[in-house]
Amino acid sequence: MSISHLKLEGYTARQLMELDACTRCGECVAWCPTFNENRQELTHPLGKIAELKGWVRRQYGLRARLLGRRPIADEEIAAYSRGVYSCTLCGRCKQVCPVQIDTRSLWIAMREQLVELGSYPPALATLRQNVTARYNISGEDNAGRLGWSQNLPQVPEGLDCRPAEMVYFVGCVSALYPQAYAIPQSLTQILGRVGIRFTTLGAGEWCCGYPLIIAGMGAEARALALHNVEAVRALGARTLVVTCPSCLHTWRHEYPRLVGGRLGFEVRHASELLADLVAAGTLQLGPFDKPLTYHDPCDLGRNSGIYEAPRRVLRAIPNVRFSEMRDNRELALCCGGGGDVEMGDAELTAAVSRRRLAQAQEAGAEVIVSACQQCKRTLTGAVRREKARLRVLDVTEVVWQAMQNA
Amino acid sequence: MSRLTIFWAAHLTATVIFLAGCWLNLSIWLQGRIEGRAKPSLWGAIGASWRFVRRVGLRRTLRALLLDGLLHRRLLRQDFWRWFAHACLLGSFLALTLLSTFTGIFEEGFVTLLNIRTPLIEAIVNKDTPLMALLNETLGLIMIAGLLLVIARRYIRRPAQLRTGPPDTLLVVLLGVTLLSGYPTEVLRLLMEQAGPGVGWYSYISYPLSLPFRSLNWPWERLHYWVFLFHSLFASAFFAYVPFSKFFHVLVSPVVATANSLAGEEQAA
Repeated sequence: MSISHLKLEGYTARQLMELDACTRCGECVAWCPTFNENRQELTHPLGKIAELKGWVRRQYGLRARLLGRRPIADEEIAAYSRGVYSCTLCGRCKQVCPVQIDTRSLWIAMREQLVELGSYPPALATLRQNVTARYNISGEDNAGRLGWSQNLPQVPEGLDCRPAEMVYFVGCVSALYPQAYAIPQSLTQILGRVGIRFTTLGAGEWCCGYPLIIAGMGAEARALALHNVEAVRALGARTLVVTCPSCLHTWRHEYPRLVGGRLGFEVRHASELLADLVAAGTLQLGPFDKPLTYHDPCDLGRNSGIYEAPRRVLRAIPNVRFSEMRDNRELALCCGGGGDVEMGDAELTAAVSRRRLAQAQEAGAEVIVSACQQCKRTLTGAVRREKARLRVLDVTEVVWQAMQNA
Repeated sequence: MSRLTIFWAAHLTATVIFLAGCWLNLSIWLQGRIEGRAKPSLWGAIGASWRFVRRVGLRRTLRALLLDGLLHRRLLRQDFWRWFAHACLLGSFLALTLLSTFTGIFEEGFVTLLNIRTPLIEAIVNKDTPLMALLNETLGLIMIAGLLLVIARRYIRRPAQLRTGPPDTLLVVLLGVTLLSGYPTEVLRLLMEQAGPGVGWYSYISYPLSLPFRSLNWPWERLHYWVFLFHSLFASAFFAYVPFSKFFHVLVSPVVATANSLAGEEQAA
């Protein structure tokens, strides 16, 4: 079977222009974290753009207009799909593209088209089933979303869905994967210590929809957005705080579009909140004795523009030994855990994370600090596999430890 | 048949093909969505673009067009030599195109059709005036320098990130032949017109190249006729091919870079 008519309505006119704007300079090739590991020509941005442009020409170009469309074979689609789904959506290609092609949006549009064509990793069908039926990525009972709070020394009052000015949106990974429990545990204890009253949506928190959006299944995300926004509004919150950069990106940049207007409350990442508390002198931080470095999560840095808030927090720790990795801020190397890549190719994720680990070691760090539960999970896996003498902590964990040392 | 008649016939045909190619590409872009609407009309697209410019402001749009669309400041920050090669090629290509267009309009429109001759028009039409001779020679030279840098990078240094395929090589060949055939054409014109040193030295590359041949009693007019036709027909064919080639990025990438730079600024704000 082959595709005889490739529809282009899923792309914006600007994205179709971007296919023609690519100068084939190859700058993106040099910076692509997954291509540098798997060396597949359809993985790097130039390869994907050239392939799609070739298809568009075959279907809509001069020859196609005169002699008819030439079909696209299933094998071609399958190979292209492997390339498109090998991308972590880190967005580094967008940062280096001389003509500023908005690559990340283009890759998501490509994935949406592949979903329409039925060519995507099988694990994503399970993901869709979990998120739409169980409202979380793991497929567990959503009632267990506050499981992380059970072994806190003291469960904060009003944690489970009470009216409050601040709602903490925990996110699927922090709520349901024990490796990341320490993140919500740290943040809630910090908030408790400084006297900020907050609540969570408890079992009423649904996946933000980000994994579906980036899988190319964004159509399913609207119901999730409507539910979550309504749940937060019902609590009368003025601020929504998240520890997950992907949730942040979705709430800030996707939800207003999905719900058709302003949310009516502010959405902040925990690192921004902590930076404000540091600036206000509210956080009493003690020393943190190990040298540390900061890993910019792609969805917090490049995709949401937050680079300095976590650094300000870390630098506020007395006598901190902080060093930057070679690739940082706009050009930070991805941990490998983004883009749903791990579901289809765990080895590729492991290879990218190994490279990031090497950069942290090169920087002389003993602790890699991130501000993302997925980065923490991925980098911790790499540390374990490589038997590296490194710890991976979230910025909230570092702050909580420093507060305890005060 | 007069060489200029052939040139204009070919160039007008090339222009029609060029515009048809641009229209074809535009019709492909309009298969996509604009402001959420699928397959918008051309007027819908123009309206949306105008609304975008009004939203971000004309001054900011022009600033982004200059800095990101034309000067490619991001490339300058990344790699000076790549930026320099690109600036040489793009800048002199655009300048030569404008110069040729003005010369053509003045020669065919003002002089031939309307029989208007003023000192300014004469200066533009006459290839031997210092300004025109210097501009043509220098812009061609800058373009050759840019092309040599591109060739050195793509075929000699070959950085691992580059993917050199038929579209890239074809473009280098087309640019190279168009440029290199321009100098013999000018040499033969100077020989045909027996230009003296007072006039000739403004063509500071072509004139010295013509000197060794001045004593030869060759049919310079006939040779010039054929070399001119080759150069101009090749350039016209290249021009017609632009919308169907990789070179189309010259027209599209400034628009995309400008729009995405402004969109990025908006998102950051």
